Amino acid sequence: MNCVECRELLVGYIEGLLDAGSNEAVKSHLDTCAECRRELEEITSLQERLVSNGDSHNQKDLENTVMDRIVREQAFQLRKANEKKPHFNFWRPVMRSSITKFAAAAAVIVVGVLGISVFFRTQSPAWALEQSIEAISMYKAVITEGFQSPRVWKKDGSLGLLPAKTWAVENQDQTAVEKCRMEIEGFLILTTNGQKTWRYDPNTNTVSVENRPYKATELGISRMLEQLKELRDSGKYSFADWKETYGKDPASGRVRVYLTFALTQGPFSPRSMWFEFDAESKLLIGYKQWDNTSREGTPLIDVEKITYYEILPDELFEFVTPEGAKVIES
Amino acid sequence: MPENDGFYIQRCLDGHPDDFRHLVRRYKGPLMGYLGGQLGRSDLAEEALQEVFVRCYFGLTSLEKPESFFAWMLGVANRVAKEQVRIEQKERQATEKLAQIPAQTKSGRDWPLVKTVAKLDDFSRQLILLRYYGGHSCKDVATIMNIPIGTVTKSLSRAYARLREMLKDEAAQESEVQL
Repeated sequence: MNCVECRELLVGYIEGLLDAGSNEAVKSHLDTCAECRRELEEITSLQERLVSNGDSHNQKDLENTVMDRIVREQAFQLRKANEKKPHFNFWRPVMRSSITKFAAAAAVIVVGVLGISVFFRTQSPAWALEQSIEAISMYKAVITEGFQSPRVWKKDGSLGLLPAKTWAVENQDQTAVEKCRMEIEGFLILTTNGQKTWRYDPNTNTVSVENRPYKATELGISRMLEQLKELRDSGKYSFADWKETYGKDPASGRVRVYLTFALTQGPFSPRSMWFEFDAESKLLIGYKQWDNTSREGTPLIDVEKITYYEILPDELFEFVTPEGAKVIES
Repeated sequence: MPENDGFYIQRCLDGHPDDFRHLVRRYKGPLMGYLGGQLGRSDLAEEALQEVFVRCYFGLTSLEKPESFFAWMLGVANRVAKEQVRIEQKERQATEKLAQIPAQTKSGRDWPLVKTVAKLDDFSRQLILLRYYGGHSCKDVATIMNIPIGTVTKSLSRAYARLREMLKDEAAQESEVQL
């Protein structure tokens, strides 16, 4: 083997890709040729430099960051597309009620004043909170906006997040949510007025009606932090990794309590949760939930904006059956 | 090698966005290497890298040849890097803090090398990025680029020679400057 032949095979030799014969031939040429040995050293030293440079450019958690951005961007585009689409018929009769119109307008004004983009929670409802902190006990109703995975209500639901909005009013003794309305991508899919519960599937145009309230959680709205602690101490669920940390909201300068925990056993497991509470008022500011115990990957629920109200109109929690819909009573 | 790019691209287009994760894992290193070389600053490169992946995801429907996915992404990365440079220049002009921009001396990053890699011809650059910044074996590189393994080793050999030459030139220029 001469030097030209050897150099042609050198990279294959270093990478261990040569057959036994060629490998042996390169090896014995290297034993006798100082020039080629120097070449080998030069290449391996460049390779080492490349390997360590490559390692230093490795971004470990990039997958999650990128997927999170994609999911948000996709939800945003979906929402924009939906804004252009006409709503289902059932939505229109509800909107005809003047009280509902008023409530909707009030919500819009709040959003307008805050100037919030749903995707950047830096200016969260701190404003709303600040203005009315003294009247906290009056907040029995809430509108939350954020995203939900279809897996929340459909077992075979795929990944990804859809824009979700929820209206909720708690009961008199502030221990549970009594009335609730949930819209996904602008479509009303569940509502309960405290006596009856309607579930609607826009794909099949089917309504199922139950003569009982929908009990979403054992938590109310205004005393949630306190109630979570009571639940933990009751031993009813298997809480794990309970952790409270404090921080300051950069936008408002208000002190926040960040609470995280996991549920490892029981009907809702595996789950992990992240809560952001305003420390003074103890009101919830933000919330995320995952269907694993380590808060990994895209969350199942991501509530980014919460607006508190003293009351929401009852009409919001009634259901008007859309034209031609199949109704199943149970 | 689990699945080729075309498989994951099709999955994404079929409504399984989470499969894009595999493509991010496969190409984050090579693209970071390339953007590092183009931008010369790790903070800018990291920002640009996310942007490249997000744009590529939403551009998947317009990708005609899934087998040239990596080359296509490098094209997107090139555009994003140029935009980033323009934005950066504008910001600097606006704030007039040119002199206060800290030099990028983050440990472990070999900027002359990564800048030289970015200057290689397209084919050699793809090879080096996949092999060293993506940590793929020669065999995997051959599969990704859809070329025989012999071509990979031969082309790598040429790319090393070219890199060594360019690095030497650069070092020579630098020492002239110092004189």
